Amino acid sequence: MKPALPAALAALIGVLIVAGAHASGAPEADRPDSGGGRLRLATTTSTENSGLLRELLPPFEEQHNVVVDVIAVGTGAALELGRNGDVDLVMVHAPDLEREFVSEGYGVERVRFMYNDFVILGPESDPAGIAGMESGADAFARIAEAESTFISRGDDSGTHTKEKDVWAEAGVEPDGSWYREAGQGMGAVITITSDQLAYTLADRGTYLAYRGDIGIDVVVEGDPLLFNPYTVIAVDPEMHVHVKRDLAQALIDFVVSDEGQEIIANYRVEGERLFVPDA
Amino acid sequence: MGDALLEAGTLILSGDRELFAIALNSVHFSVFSTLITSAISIPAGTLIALKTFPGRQVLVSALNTLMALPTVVVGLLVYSFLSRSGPLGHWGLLFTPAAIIVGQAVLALPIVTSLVYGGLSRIDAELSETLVTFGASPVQMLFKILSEARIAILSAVLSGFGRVIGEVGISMMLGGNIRWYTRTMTTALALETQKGAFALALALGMILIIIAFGVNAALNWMVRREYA
Amino acid sequence: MSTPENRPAYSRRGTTGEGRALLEVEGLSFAYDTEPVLAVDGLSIHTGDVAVLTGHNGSGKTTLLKVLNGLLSPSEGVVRLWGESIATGRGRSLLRSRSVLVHQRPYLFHESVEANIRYVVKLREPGARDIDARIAESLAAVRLEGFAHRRATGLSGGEKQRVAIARALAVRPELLLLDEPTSNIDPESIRAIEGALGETNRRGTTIVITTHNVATAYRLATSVYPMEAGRMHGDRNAVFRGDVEQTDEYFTYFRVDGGSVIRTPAQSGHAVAAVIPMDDIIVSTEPLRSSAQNHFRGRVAAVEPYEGGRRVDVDCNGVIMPALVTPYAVEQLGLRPGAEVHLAFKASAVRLY
Repeated sequence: MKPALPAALAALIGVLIVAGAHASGAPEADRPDSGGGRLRLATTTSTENSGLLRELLPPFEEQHNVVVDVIAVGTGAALELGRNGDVDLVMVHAPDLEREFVSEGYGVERVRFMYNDFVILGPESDPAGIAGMESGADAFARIAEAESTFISRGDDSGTHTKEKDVWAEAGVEPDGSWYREAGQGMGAVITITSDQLAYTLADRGTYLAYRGDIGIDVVVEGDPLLFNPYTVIAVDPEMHVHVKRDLAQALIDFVVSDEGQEIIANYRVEGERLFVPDA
Repeated sequence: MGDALLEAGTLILSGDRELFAIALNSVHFSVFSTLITSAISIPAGTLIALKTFPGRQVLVSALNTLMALPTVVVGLLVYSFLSRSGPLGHWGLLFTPAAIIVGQAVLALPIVTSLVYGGLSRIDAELSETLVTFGASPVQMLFKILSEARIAILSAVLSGFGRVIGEVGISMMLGGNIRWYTRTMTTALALETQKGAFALALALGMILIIIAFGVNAALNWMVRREYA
Repeated sequence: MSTPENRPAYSRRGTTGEGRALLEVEGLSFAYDTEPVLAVDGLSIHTGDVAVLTGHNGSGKTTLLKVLNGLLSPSEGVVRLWGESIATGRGRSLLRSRSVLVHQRPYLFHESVEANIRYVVKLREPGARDIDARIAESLAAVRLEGFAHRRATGLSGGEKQRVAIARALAVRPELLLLDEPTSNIDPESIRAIEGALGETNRRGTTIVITTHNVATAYRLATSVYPMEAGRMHGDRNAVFRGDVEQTDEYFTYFRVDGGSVIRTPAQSGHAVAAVIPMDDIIVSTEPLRSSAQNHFRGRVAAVEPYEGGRRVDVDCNGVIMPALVTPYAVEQLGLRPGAEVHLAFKASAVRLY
């Protein structure tokens, strides 16, 4: 009777270790040959969530016999990883922060290669009456005037930064019980907005992923103010000697190349084009 | 949501490669971090429980406080060490499985130590007196006390495992949620939920629940055997 | 050696004070923090004794037992085992190889009964080859045959206590210390335990027991030491070993080993000891005509200060009967060794155990 317990325990631990060892081995078979090393790319969650990188990176990985480790975090965190030398390059969409990053000497240069856009989402009932408006700023001003519920990311993300730009353009200091800061990710904010039949500013990629499951839809789009330019920036080896400058440059060269630009142009989510190449 | 549930079930039953690779990653990291933690926490908890030394009470209070540390704080702390700009940056561990394992081990350390300590200090004073009266040497006593506390120790270790396999902050911050490499069930869950890919998220959630249930059922079974 | 203050009133074997003591205590005191809980001037226990410490909870008997087993270190004083202080290496190793203490609520390991016993035998004698025989033997002693493969922690309180005693017996201790072995357990277990301890004692094991169960105390004891507030007193009872001879309409007749018969109110059942408060034994120089049903004639063997009075030991045809009187009575009646006296006590003053 007595030996059963330790035996069972040993068996359990054994199974877990084997499972664990198997796990660490299994994915290698599925991923490209990693013999050529790894390149680390910090980007934003929305970029990663868009799924574009899964189309864009494999050809590059194959050509250069390298594995690109994509680390998706908030915009601020992505740049911070670059500052600390924890990644080789960053792919972000926050012009002011990028300029600061480069001017501080952490990034070599900003390379624009595509943009996508933000859309204003709202309920069908459209209490602020903004559907079809061309100016994002005017639409925001109307929402504030009508005191229709607006859900803000409230998390200093790229989307939040853009939202604040639009409010500034509209000349409105959003305040009051109609303006709610969720402090959550895009997906959560879309869900909340849908539940409360409110308005929000969302990136098109995340919206497309949620479309169909939610009770809100695009009410305003197409204003250049709502465009969202993406750049890639290599971390400067002057600051961090260990970064893979050459490989990072190779990736930058690839995304601005005809091949890279074409992949971006052809990328579709739910049948809709998400990014516009502009290198 | 009904569709997502159905799809989640299909994903699991069809043995989706990526899904299971992610699940195995989680198990792999958590098993190793739990083993590392156990190797430190069991002796440490035993020492605190069986020896009196100055500062012991302060240490116990500190451990109890650290138990409540949010994973993000632990993640940040370990990040500051493992970052290229940190003291251990040259090891190049950040955004590798090793970083997750180290971070999770740090997270579980106060929990397992504290629970081992708690389990051992609840053992009757009569046990050590019984061993003394029968003439056990200090080493023999130590082994017998550990053996008598085996269920408490085991449940401490499993609590540590439960804590690390369910945490997301450290895996995200130190592992980077890199596909095929450091993506775990919890980081994938966070990602997929954000993307609105509820089916995969639900499937991952189900696997997490199954693992948690399995661990608890095993523990329950052992406790019942022990005290039946 | 033993002081008059605590010398037992009666000893079955009459060895007290003779030869070298197995266990001796001198000037012992023990304090938790600064609270004194134990003060024992002296105590001697000889090979073959069954010394029973009685008293209420908090009287210090458990503390004394633990001090005797070296589980607690006395604040002052010394405990000697076969002449060696247990504070020394030699004494400590004698203690750990020949003595065992069984707790009031014994700790049984979370494994089978058999494994519990096997483990401690291996601790004591790593090379022992007769472990299986010892397991069977010690379980039989407490009447738990067939319990070897049961889980120790799943047993009833009485069964646990019996397993703990079997476990202690299996290492064949020369000195067995038991804390309240028969409290809060079922009558069957009490009988099994008393039987096992009696048998073990007959085979030569010296036993020290604490109990507040008076029946257990008098059935097993060769000497009883009442304790109160950490101090040890002389027993104010006279104890006679023997057995019930017959019972008629009025009386039960208890024959004391070595001679006399004591009358008690008629009662049924078996008994091994007759206990009479020494204060209830009346000493006179002339035969008394009274309602007392027990009368003895004998000669004073000794007169000693005892528990604040004078104990007069009277030799009645080889049986020593002690009576507790005042110093004034000793003087008035001229009680000196050799003097012829009469003793009388009521049948109802006698308790049978």
